[in-house]
Amino acid sequence: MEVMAAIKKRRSVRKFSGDPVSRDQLMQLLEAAVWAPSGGNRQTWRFVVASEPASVQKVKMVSPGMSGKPAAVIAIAHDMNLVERKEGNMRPDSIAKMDSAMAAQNIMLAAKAMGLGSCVIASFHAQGVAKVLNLPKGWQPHLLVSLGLPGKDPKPPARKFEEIIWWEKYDG
Amino acid sequence: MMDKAALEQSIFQLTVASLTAASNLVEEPSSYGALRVMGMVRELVEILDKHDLSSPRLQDIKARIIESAEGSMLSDEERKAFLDGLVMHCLDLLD
Repeated sequence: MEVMAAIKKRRSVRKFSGDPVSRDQLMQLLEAAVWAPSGGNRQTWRFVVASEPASVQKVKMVSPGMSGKPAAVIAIAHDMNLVERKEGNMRPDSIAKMDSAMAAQNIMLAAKAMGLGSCVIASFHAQGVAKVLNLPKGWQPHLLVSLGLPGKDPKPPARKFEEIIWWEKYDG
Repeated sequence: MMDKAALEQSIFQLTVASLTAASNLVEEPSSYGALRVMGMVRELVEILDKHDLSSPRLQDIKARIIESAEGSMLSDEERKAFLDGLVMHCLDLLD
């Protein structure tokens, strides 16, 4: 699938078929994630994958924004101690979050290209997710990506270019 | 045959999920509250389904919630209209 097609066809999937996603597929998604850009190419992200039903259920229990029954969840976290050492005073938290977002987008586009559905989730209980995934102290989960075969692809909402884009200067 | 331990486990998980949602909602957009309550109702009916404790009217409500959640995200106005309609429909289902 070409990049623009994956970008335009990706939807936030909230209904999954219930079929499993293979370890090989998940590894491909993780490979896509780590090829995302990162601030200063520091690559301080960490990925913890819940792929067993019991693990997914535990993450879902502390993630109010997660809908449906995904086959797997990738938690994108940062070791904030490492981030602060590497980033110094240059807004380490916000840069780490942006890195997480770029990795998440790569995962979701790769998932689309592989015929998988995905949904990025920011509404979760960070301490709760850290606990159920046994994250080391100092690791901060930023985003979750739920994954599975799509049970239904939602219709895309319209994009209104004229309301959000200006050329050379804002003249709205 | 109802598996009481499994039912308790499911209800416990739903309880934790509800409390987690409540904790998050303190800092989240107020419109998320409606989504979270709808999700919990759906989960509750699914648990009852699994343990043969559901009913056609509960399944009807669940189906309507699922239908609304599977499409694109509704605007606040659309969600309000959906929920108003659902409340009135539920009242029609009362004995």
